Amino acid sequence: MSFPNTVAAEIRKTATLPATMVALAVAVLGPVAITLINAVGVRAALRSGRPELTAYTSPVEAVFSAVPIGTVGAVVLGVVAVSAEYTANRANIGGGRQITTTLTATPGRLGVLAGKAIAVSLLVAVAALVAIPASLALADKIIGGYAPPTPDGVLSRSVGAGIYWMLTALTALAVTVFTRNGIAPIIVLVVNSSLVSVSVLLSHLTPLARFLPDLAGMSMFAGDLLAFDEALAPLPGGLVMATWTAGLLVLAGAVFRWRDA
Amino acid sequence: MVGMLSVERLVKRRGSREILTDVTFRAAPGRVTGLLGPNGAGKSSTLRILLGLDRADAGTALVDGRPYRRLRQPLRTVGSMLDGSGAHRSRTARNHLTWMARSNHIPTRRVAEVLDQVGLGAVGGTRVGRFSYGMCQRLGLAAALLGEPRALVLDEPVNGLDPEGIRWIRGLLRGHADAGGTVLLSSHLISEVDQIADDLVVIAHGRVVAAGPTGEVTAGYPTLEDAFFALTGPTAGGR
Amino acid sequence: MSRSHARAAATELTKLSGLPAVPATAVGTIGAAMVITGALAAAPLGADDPVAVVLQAVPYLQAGTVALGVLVVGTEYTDGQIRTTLLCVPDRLAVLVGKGIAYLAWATGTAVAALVTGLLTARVALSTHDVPVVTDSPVWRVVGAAAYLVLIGSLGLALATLTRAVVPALVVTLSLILVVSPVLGTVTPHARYLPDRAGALLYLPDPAPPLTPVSGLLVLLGWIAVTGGGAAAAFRRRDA
Repeated sequence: MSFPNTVAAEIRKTATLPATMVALAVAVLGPVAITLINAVGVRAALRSGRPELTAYTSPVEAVFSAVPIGTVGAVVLGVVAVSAEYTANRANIGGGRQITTTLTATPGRLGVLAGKAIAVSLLVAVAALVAIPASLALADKIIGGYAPPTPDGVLSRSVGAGIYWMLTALTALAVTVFTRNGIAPIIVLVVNSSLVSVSVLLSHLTPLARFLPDLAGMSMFAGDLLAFDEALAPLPGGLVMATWTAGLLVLAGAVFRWRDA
Repeated sequence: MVGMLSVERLVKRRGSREILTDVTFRAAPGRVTGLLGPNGAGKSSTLRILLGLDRADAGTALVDGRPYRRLRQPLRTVGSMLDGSGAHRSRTARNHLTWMARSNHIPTRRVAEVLDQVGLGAVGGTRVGRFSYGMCQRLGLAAALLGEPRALVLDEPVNGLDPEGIRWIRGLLRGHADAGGTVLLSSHLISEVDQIADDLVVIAHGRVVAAGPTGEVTAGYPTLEDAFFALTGPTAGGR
Repeated sequence: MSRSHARAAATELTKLSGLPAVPATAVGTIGAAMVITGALAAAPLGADDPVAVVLQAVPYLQAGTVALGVLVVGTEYTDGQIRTTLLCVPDRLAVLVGKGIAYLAWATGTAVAALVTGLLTARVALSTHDVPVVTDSPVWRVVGAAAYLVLIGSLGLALATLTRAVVPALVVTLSLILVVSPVLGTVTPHARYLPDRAGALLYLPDPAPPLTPVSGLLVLLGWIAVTGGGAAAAFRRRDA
């Protein structure tokens, strides 16, 4: 089977999983819904003349503070793309796992993994292309007239948020190749996409924490929302996160290739 | 009668589709009753209702005259096996049977006994996820035998067993019935049912199309296989 | 508690101890408590009171009890074990009561062990600093933290009963308490009625009027009663 066919098969397989639909819904509807609540809260504070009630007053920040919920969707997408292969189906508990079918259809392990990575990236990109513009438009419509002038860099931060989601999804995919089970990666990565992330905690201990994948990557979109003084600039931050992701994917490829199905 | 299984005018719908229509039959003590029908005929749905897993939309399914959900220690009355092992793959066979025993106040020595009986004595400490399909079937049988029940309800018990295992289970079920127990088993394998069943219930498209002693059901046909296709085929019985 | 409920609870305890993921979660939570309190105590701007340090670690530790709650029910559905469970104990309510008790036992043990480990770690870590260790936070807050951890995890149990799967229940519960709640907390005062924020009054020093620790506990219990009641109703009604 040629590589484009493998990619097409992986896209079809991943996109038709019910869990993928839910993950995409979380990645798209989650940020929009949180943006809505954020924006209504900000508008209420601005209207009553007490902007100090909320942490920020700009519609743009209402959107970017909602990005972590989209990250959860991206994590789920990356995890289920792999873990679904290892889930036993009910009638064949002895060993009826889809990975057997996948690897007999496409014996090239690296092709399968690359196909999955491309499928997940595309799905996340679609989610980001819908969720972020929709959230920006919604926040602008709600806060609109009350808002301070729009800060610069909205476009680059939007792109940064999309790339952050994509790299997070690929990290989740790579980690799930190691564990072959979704539970541990979901716990660790969802906790770490939150505001109480362990990386933020480590940043109080050592400035080296800014080179951790999530803190480095957040600099692509978080701006002042990142409560952390020594953050990297967006571009180097993105590169650091991309390097981590690439490293994990290479490692996952090696493990996937070497291990029995 | 102790161990009698009786199903009376069972109706089950999934959405707008009626998957069981007026299903009625009995499985009597001292006899092996075979529930025979093609894939999707409604065998498993009937057994799931009899075992209290699913609810019927109408009709009753009784064990010793009581619905399964009313039994206080069901494993001591009916032993059952549905597809697969019914165990989480990360636990050991021994742990699986131990928690089952605990739930029905069955002495834990039974765990080792049934493991030996089904030929899994050496792998009691192995995680179920490492079992082959046939071993999962054997574990399911061990679970059915755990409470020394009068009645056995088995869904496709010979699936995945090797020839030696099939012969063994045939002997086991025959012995159980001869000792006065009730055996109800479903299968789509005609030859298997033919060899073991005293009574037959043939089901197709959710309806019972024939029931009675094996000799009566097959009367007028050269073999059970001919009877089966005549009774369950598109021209007969169902819609 | 009737005899059948006691037996159902004993059954569920046997079941949980046979699942490697359950002890692994307990050990992982205790290990996380050690690492996180160690890091918090070592941070230059951190608190200088072991109790305060441990309380700061609670938001991380709740992932552990949530995971326990989800595993108690969710693992029934990964390989169809729920059929075996209901064949053994046909009374649906007894199954849920048994699971609830088994969860309480594991979650309480895990929460207490994690908090005690955290207290000891914080004490040791702080004593390596030159700052004098103070102990002016009331100890009842640690008890409150344990109660909070146990209660918040029971939301995971209820959601796993509703979703009948591990991963969706984990994602919903964890993202609600770790992602959505902090984000909403920065924009709307109504966020204080979310389960984790109301329950946090059990251990956090600063009150969030009009809620007090007692009314916060009642709000959290209200969330648990609503989701748990819905889950129990669905569990009784559904085909296995």
